[in-house]
Amino acid sequence: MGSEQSSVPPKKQAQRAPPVRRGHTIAVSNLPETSRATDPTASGNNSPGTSICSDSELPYISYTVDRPIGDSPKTSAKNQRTTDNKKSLLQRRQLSLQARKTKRSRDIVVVKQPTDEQLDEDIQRLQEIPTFLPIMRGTLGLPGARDPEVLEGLDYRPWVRVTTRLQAHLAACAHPLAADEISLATKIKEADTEISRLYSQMVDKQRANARHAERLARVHEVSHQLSRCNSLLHQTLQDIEELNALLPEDKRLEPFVWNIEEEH
Amino acid sequence: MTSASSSSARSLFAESKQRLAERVQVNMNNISSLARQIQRGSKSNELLTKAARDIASTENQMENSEENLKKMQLISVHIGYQFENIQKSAQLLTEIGEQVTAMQR
Repeated sequence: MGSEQSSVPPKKQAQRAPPVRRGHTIAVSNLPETSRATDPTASGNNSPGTSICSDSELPYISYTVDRPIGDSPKTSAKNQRTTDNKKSLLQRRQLSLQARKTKRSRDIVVVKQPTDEQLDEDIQRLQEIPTFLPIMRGTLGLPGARDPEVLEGLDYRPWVRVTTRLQAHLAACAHPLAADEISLATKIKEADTEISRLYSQMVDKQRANARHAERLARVHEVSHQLSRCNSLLHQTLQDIEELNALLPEDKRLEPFVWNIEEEH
Repeated sequence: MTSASSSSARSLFAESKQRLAERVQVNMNNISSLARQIQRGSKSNELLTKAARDIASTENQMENSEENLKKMQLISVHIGYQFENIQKSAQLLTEIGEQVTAMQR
């Protein structure tokens, strides 16, 4: 991940002196670096101390290993491995210091004054970045005081107005709705009672109807019997007339008349 | 050596991240309590649940009504049949009356 985060091609960095001074967040103009040792093998404690590099969460940490400015951790590790491991830390430090001094006396590289005042474009871009503060100002530094509370920035009154209006709106919507629903429920109950009353009425009427129908059905039987009676009567009348005709004159009866008192 | 520097660098932002997360959590809690206040303040929830419960209680009555209505429909059919019977009987009655008068002559 570290190699993707720089647009500068890697070979440029090895050729010139590192233009960015570590440890400063605000870029300053380039001081002439006359006595800076550029020997990569020169031992020194200028490994990135309070670095802003990282591995996975923080970027550029692989630079410390792959493209070191001072001692490479790998080479220093190699040196430490080759030296006697039983030496104490202090002795080792003194040795490295002496080595640095001797190396410096031998290899001094002098760099020219910068001719063109135009800074590198990266440095220009860095200088153009406006100063910003982190989200939580408490991390800037202890004298940086508490994070300024929200109350100093925001006015609460519009918020209160909005929320009370929302609350009132909800209430205003809910009341008629609830009233409608309750009226619906009462109407359903009324309808239910009405329907049950009508049902009972219908049942009664149907029973009465049945009784009447059954009674009137007897009319059929009556009519049948009456018709039979009628035919029988006709028959008997005819028979009586025939018989009357058969009888001799002196014994004939009166012609038959439908009276209440019948003659026999 | 990357592991050494990365572990030290990994713990670099842990505290500030935690603080940021706490602030965010506080803000979220505030917003949620505000929302709850809005909802509880307007007693919309209670009103609507009460109305819904009322309607739910009428379900039984609605079932009864539906059943009664179906029975009433059947009964109406029966009544129709009986009406036809009665009508025929009434006609017969008139005929019988005529027959009786004819017989009486």
